Amino acid sequence: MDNVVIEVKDLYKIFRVGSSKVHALNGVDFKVYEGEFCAIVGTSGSGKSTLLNMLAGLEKPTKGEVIIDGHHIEKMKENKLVKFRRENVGFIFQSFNLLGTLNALENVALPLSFRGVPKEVRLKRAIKMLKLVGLKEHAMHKPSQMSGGQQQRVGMARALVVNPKIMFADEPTGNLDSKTSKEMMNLMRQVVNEHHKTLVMVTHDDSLAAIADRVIRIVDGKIVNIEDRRTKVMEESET
Amino acid sequence: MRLADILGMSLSNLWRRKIRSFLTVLGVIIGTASIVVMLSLGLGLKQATMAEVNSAGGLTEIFVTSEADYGEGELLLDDSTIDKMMEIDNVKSIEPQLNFTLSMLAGKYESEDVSIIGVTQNYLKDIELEAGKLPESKSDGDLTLLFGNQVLKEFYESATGVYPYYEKDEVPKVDLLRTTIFGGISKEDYESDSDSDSSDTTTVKNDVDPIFSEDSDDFESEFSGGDDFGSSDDNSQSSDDNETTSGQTTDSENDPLDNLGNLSDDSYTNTSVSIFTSDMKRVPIKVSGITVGSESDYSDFSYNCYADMDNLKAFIKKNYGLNDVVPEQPVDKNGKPYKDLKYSQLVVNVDGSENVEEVLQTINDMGYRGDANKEWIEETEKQFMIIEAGLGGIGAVAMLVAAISIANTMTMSIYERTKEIGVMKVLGCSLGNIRSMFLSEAAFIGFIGGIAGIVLSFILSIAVNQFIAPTIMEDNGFDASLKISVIPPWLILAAIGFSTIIGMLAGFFPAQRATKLSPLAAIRNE
Repeated sequence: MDNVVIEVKDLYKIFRVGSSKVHALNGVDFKVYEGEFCAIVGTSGSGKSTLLNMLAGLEKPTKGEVIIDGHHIEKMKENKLVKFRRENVGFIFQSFNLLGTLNALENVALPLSFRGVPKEVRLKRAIKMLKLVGLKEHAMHKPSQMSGGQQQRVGMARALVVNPKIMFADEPTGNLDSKTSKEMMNLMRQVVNEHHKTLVMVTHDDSLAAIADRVIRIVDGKIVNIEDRRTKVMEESET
Repeated sequence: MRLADILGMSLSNLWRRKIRSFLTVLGVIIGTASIVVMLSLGLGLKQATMAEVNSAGGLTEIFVTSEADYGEGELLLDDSTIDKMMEIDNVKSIEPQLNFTLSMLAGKYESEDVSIIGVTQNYLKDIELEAGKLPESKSDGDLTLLFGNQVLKEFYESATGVYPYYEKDEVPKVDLLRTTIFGGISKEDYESDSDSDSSDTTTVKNDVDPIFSEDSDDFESEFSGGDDFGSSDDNSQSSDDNETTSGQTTDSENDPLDNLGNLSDDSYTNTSVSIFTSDMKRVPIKVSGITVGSESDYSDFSYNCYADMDNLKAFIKKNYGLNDVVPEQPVDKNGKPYKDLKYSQLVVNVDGSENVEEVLQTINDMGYRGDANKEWIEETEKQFMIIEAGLGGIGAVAMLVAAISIANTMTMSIYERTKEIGVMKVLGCSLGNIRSMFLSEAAFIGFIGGIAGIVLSFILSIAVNQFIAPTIMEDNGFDASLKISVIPPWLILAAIGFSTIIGMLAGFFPAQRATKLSPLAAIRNE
């Protein structure tokens, strides 16, 4: 339980807007442990999305270190980063980002095709994942034929199909209504518990973050508070 | 990523935007077809030319001519040369040609020098006939000719010297196959036989006014400038004619007339422009056939008369003495004729086109001048390559426009799919795979366009061959059945390959751009 999967050290991200500098991240340090559901919470413009982008290697930090599973992400070239994501990372998007030309099954199988997995094998695994998220009967549907909640569950299956060490979720419920949001959060909780995944989720919604093991709160590019819900839950249950 | 997956995604992306893909492909179709059709015209023209060459000798023949320098006797072509050349490796056979000219009289028309070529039966059998049959091989000394279909054009009226063809635009009306034609062997050539001939010739008195005969004097000396030379003993024999003033031209009674056809001309021999003067020996000539075509149709055999080699040799032997200068035969340094007949050309048949060069070299080393069609063909092929490059260049303009259109389509497609590309990058699709996806999309446009372009080219090619080719080919003296547009298999493959490569080249920069797009595009919410 105490294996460190992600370690962030003194991370800065400074954007230049005209002549002025904007500190999106202003010295951030934290660790994420294996099998942990970690939520990064902050208001719009707090730098939480920038932080997630840097964890996933989509953006380069101005200063500081991001070490995932012993690899220094910030030093990697794009080719290496893509390879790294292909092998270690699953990603859930706010706007689902399923490919419109592919049906649910093919969308789920897509990351496997990037790995060169033969078609029969990847479709078999994809159908398993769809079963896991409860969408087996929608396998042949195109994204346009599915609701937002269904699409996001397909997105979830797509992130899971490569059996990643780490999953990132960027406002996964941002485009969903509150009821489906709840269902989505429960699904994520269930996956983390049952499959021992490490999940880092970014959200602005405190109530959704409450389901996480740990909540990292960011304001103006700085961590103001790290709340360990497990100990709290344990403490609460003890009292 | 597997190749099949990359291709599959490319195809489904093309299919997603059917109309745009179709329009882009249409550009490639037109580009490919314009190149292919242009090239096919060049190739068709080349093929037609080569077909002509093949029918006129092909690739395995070497044409050997003498240096035509009368001083160098050892370079002349005769039977010993043939024997020598037959010993060269890979030489299959040698066919000599013997050039000869003869004055001819046909009805009321005549010609001063009709070119006669003595050839082998093997050569004769390839000549197409309009009427009659080929001359047979015989050695009895009576000349039988195959008449070129245009030879009669060069005949003029004996009485007036008017060329009907050139001055009246009509061909002399002579039924060659039924009229007895006479060949004239002039006195300078004819010498040794005069003694024997004089006995059986009919002597015709020349009873024309001296004034007229003086006119004819001038004329004759004009026409037969070399008369004084070598005709002295003839003159001495015929000096009994006292009516004319000069001894030089008083030999008309010595006319070695044969029994036929002499009546018509004789009355105006001295008043007309005819060269068939009384001092010319007349020998009957048979025409066995006429080459194919009317008097205005051109073929390789139109302008000459052809005779069987043995027949012609026998004819020359019979009519010319050992010391006579035979027309078209070379003489030695002293102006004396050679003992045996010299050929104007030898056609050396080599057993395979790959050996032509070697044999040609050997012949040239022997001091003769050899020419092979092969050399000419190589030269011609070079010229056709330039023509094809020019035609292809014209077609390539359309292809260039198509390539720009592919680049445009791909660029637009990539901008549209910025987010999708970002998602794929976030999900771990390698940069190389993304590039391959877009490159193969562009390649597909080129490939499909290439195939459809070939189909279109075939349609156009067939249409051209069907409706336009017959008239054009006929107008330019080719066989009307020849195709004007030819699409060989290599052109099909090359065209499809080329259009595919063009597609990839056009797609290269857009694909490169796709790999540089930021994965953050996937995160942004619009």
